[in-house]
Amino acid sequence: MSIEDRIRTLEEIEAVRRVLAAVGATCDAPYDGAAFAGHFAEDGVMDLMEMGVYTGRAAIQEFIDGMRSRVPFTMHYWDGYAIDVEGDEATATWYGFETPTLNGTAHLGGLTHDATLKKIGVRWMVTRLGQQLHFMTPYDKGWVRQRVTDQTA
Amino acid sequence: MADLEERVQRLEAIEGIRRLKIRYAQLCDANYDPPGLTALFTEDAVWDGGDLGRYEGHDQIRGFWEGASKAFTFALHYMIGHTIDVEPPFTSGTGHWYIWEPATVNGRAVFLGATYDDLYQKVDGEWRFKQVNANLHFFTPYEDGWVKTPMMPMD
Repeated sequence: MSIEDRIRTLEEIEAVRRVLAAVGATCDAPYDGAAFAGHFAEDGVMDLMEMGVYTGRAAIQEFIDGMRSRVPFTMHYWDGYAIDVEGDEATATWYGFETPTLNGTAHLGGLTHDATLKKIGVRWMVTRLGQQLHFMTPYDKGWVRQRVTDQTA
Repeated sequence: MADLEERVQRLEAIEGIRRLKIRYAQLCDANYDPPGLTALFTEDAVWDGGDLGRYEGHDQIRGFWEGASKAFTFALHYMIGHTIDVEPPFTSGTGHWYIWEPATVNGRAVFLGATYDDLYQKVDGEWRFKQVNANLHFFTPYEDGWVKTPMMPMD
């Protein structure tokens, strides 16, 4: 691989990391569905497993905007990225720790995520975003006593 | 300033070591996959957790992971706030990391807070752990917190 290609790979890994950080910031409260969906390809997919699968920017935006009324506060601590770039396509996995208020109660969330991205023009766009929910527990209980509180109710 | 080739090698080494540590975290979260984790260490590596024990070489390190896989039925290893240093010829390096770990140990929800000081070595083109020093700051039942119970027994 030429030195130019090696530099490009490192630069693109950093670019993907920045896109994913921006995605995380847009789903901190107050959820910004338009900004969040704007990071997705037109036919992008968001697979939240037990919370549903949403295809296309409109469906993704609607879901994220809907979270605003159900989750008045949250922060997304995303880190531990492992990113692979191959040409104009990328894959990524990372960890998420969340601090939402659900049903008026402080919660702690432990998640992992995965994504595929495609460089369209000069922008990396998410083509698929996955989520694995390990716990979403009331602060006063912990994941052994109550592993998951429904975030969509 | 170093030449372009050296600057690129430094960045590639840092990224490679970062990936090694995340792979370590992912395998810990996959019920401490003893063979997978052991393969991330050099043959003569040391995993030193202070009060958690010191394990040298593949056999001892694999045994440690086998024990962990029985006690820890759930864990998420959040590896954060790292610094990685490498110098030419980029066949070794050092790293400092923070870890925040929610886990279930023997049926109890716990929080573990620690830092790592690592030594890395490149073996056959792949980054491996030469030494992992895990510095445990608290290991507390979820219900207690680190003021009430900073260190609970492992068993």
